[in-house]
Amino acid sequence: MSFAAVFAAVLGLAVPIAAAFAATAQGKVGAAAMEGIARQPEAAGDIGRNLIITLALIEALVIYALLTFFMLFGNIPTLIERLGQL
Amino acid sequence: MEEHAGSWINLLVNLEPEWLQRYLPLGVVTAWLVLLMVVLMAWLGTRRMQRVPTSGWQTLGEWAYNLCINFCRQIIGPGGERYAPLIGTLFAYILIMNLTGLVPGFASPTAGLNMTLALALVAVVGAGICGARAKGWRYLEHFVDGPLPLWPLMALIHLIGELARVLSLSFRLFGNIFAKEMVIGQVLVFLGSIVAMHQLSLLLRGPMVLGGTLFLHIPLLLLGLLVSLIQAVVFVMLTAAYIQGAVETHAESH
Repeated sequence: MSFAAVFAAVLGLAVPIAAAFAATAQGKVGAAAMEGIARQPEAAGDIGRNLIITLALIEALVIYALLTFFMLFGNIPTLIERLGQL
Repeated sequence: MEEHAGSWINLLVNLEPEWLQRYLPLGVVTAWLVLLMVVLMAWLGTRRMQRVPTSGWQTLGEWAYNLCINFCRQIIGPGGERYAPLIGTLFAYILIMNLTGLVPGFASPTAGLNMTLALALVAVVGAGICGARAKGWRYLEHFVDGPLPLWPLMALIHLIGELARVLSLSFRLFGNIFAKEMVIGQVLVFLGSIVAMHQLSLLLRGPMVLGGTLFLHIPLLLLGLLVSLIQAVVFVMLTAAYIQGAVETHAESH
């Protein structure tokens, strides 16, 4: 039972950890893009397009963590049930 | 992976019988409806075409066509308008499928891995076909580089790269749309549990549910609009970038 409790508690940490690192990375990307646009306003279109692609690539990693969360989240009742049988 | 997840409103009130969900998933029906919708819009837009459009449908069609052509030219470069049909169709189909999920009682087909995997395969295989048509056998040069003894290894690595593209495209779209629907549904369940709390008086529960709807549910629906649009744009943008990588010649890239 305690294993299930630890499992449930740690599961909640997965997305925040992923989101924290992704936020750092996205902040860096955004800052660099803004600097680039400020230096060369005429390249704003190109930079903005690449910015969206890069942000989407980083975002995808958080989404993988969220998917894992949703998949494991549904298993907690089963886990508790099985551990209770032992 | 989980079964096809029905509409988010099913978490609160189950509108769909189980046997129906099993043999005719809502997502599949929605995908057909969206397909019909896109075809109908294209048909209305091109019916009785005039030099100066008088019907709104033709104006809408021309606007969308221009948008698509410019998008392709920007990303793929001159001559990119050849790939506009693939890009434009993917965009319209994915956008409308993403948005359908916001309607109560409907489910986004893209919230299931089956649909997104199919779309990602179309995008990546389509990019390969575009490259092969543009360059013929020389397209295979993409898969090999470095000294001759290393070619089999490099080919393997590039093949794994193509596979990773399919996986990342499909999982990104699936994850975002699935998460959007799950979050909307869970908030609805939360509001429903407040309604069901009989210990609290109605005077207390009413404002709580009203506030939850106004400040939690409606903003999440608006966020859903944004996510739907962004994910559709990102999908076609990456597809266009893959096509650009496949058709570009080495003279241009250096």
